Amino acid sequence: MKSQLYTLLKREFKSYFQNPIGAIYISLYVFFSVLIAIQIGQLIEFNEASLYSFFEFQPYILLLFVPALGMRIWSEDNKSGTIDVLLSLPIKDYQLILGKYFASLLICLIALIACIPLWISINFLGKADNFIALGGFISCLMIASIYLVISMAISMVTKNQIIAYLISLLFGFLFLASGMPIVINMLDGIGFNLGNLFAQISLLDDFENMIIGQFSYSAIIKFILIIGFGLYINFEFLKLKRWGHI
Amino acid sequence: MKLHTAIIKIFFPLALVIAIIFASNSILGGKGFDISQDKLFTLDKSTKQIISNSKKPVEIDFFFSKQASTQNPQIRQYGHRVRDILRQFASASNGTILLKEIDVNQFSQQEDAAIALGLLPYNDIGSSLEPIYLGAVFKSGNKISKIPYFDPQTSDMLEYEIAKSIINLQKEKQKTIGILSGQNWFIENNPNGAPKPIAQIAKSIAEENILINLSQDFANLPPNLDLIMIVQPWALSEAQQNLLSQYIANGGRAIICLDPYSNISVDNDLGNKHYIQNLGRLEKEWGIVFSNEVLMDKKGALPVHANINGRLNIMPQPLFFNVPPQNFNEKTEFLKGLKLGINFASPSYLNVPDDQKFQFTPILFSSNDNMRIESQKVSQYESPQEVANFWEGEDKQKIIAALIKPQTEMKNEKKGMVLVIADSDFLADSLYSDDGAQIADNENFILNSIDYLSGDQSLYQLRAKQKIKRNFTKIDSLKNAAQSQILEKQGVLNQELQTINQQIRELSLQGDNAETQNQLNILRQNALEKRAELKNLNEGIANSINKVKFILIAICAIIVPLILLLVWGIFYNKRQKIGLMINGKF
Repeated sequence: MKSQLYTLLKREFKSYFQNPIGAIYISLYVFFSVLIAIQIGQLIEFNEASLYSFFEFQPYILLLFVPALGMRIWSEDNKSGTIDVLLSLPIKDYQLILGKYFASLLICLIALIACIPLWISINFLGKADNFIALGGFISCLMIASIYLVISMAISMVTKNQIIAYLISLLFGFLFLASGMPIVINMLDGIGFNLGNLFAQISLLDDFENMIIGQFSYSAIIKFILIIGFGLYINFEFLKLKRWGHI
Repeated sequence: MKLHTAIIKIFFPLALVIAIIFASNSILGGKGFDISQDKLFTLDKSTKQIISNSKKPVEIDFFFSKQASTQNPQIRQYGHRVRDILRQFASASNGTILLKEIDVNQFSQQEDAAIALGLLPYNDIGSSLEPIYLGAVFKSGNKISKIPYFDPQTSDMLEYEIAKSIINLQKEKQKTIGILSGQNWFIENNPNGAPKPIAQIAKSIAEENILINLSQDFANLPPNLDLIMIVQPWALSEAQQNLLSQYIANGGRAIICLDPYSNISVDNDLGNKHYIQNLGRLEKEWGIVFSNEVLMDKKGALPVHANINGRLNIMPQPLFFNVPPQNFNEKTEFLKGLKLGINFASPSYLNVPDDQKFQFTPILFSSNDNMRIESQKVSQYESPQEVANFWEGEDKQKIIAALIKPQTEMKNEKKGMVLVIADSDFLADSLYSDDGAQIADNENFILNSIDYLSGDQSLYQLRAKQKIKRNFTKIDSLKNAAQSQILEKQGVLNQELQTINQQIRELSLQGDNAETQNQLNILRQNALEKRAELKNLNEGIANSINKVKFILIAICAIIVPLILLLVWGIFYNKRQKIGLMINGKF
């Protein structure tokens, strides 16, 4: 069973590199992340040997990049019809979902690893807190995982990759924006303490704590639950697809 | 599977997930782990010690406007951090500390209580938003202390502030400190009551202790003084010297800050004449051997704004320097943890007394690249460029502060002790504080010294527990090296420019013939070139930093992605070839 999951993961992973899209995707992510950290985040001007300037923009950069990765996961199979072939294979639904999910997550991981030269450079220029830096990369991977499961689920219900991308962007943004004052005030206007309730679901506060080295158990539980729920949604959507409801 | 069953299957778990998130937020609160090397989010060992030593129960009322704080993410986030650390205090106390969390809404009873207790709301200037309360009241028996507002700007001191409030409640009595100072930028003498602290260090001392003013004509010392702080005082009469001598001989403790040239006093138009530069016979009695010279330190030189050729530059000025932790006496307990070092301005230095009857312990040293100048000549070295031009360094470290225990014939249990610091400017806010953020440990040094001399060690370690500034050391040294080079070259170029200008003036007086005109043109051209060279030198520092930036972008943002594309290209090409070979087309 494990080998089936592994075979699918390998196949999906390789599919990213059958054309230049995977490599271009990673290269663009690295280029923009580093450039934004140095130019907009003023990494050098702050004169602090830390990757904070890099991490602080990651929720937004990843929000633009990860749905681009996730939009094609099911949409392409939907469009080309290979979804029917996949569903007819003697492979369990969860293996199918996990195989695709981990393959895409691996791309995110490679993209983050490709930013490590910046980490090394910071260490060369000064004495960085490397535990915080490592925590920051883990936090980025966690937030990327959330965006990925969201965009995977959206891509299941549409054949159009652009629509999948835009809706994923919207949902991902909601997770971030739910902690923003403007949204909270708007929700408070509705009543039922909605603003405060949504603020608790926001990922932004937790992410900002993590990149300075403070990992709370409740934040970790939140991240794991959202990822788990996202995968579960994928599982349920796949079942609906099997039954022809979507 | 029916559609509505699937919808139930999705919405029920969704509700469950949200419920668990809310439950974990309220049950676990801020519990978690701290991966920072400085352990800023974990209670320090010394804090735990303070908590376990607390015998009296302490009640903490934590006021936080949860609802209103959603308008300001920074305050909300900091409020959660304060709440989390207070919970850590409570859970580490085994029930001695009781935490009560009070959610303050506008126009509520809780808000009335917060206002009555003197808590301050946070409001954006000109904002019509709800007031945000983020403060705490500490109660133990009849005693009460408060933190009116937890300021996110001083988040590094959060744990210390809370621990201090708890300690102050536990103390039977506050320390009494006599202040003898002629410096009104440090403390204002009040003949009718307690002196008014002006400098931040004086305010911090006043927060934790009872300050007693020793006026210019004091005729006796108040009883039960725990310590006397002497900061550049007025001239002391014979009777006053006797009183002070007697005080130390009877086991008294003193901190003495004397300076042959006080920049801050000069800036405040006090001049040197208003205070003394030595303590007369007391120095001999206590084993203090001050130098009359002023010390400059090149290695620890602090950056200052300098006007060079009409341009405002930031240059290292050796008259103002930092004594880093590596120049501390490592055996001195109360200096441990002062990671930012201590900043001084034109201090003097101390010599080791010849007399063996003094136990002399140097605690702060200059670097081994220093220079001595006469105190009267300090004004000549106000420009960093002047200092660079006339630098004649010595490679022997000088003593800036020392602990001295004079030997007395009195057989008291408590021995007298004097901490002597050869500077008074270091007490001024501008030397160590930048917009409220501490850039050096001057304040912690004095507060720790007071605690040490008065035998109170509870807050030593905690004061120093703050985020270590992790600078780009390579960029700093690049800047310093470039600035030194620039200063040297600027000196040479300025001289050349002056010579050329002089020649131009002389030639201009010689008349208006063709040859003179030709020579004038050449000289003017030379002058322009020298000015251009000076301009280029000034741009040198900015260019060297831009170069680092460019290299970083080139390596991390351009070369790495290009390598990735190249690696992909090689593999792709290889695979294509294999594919063609299999198909027999290659």
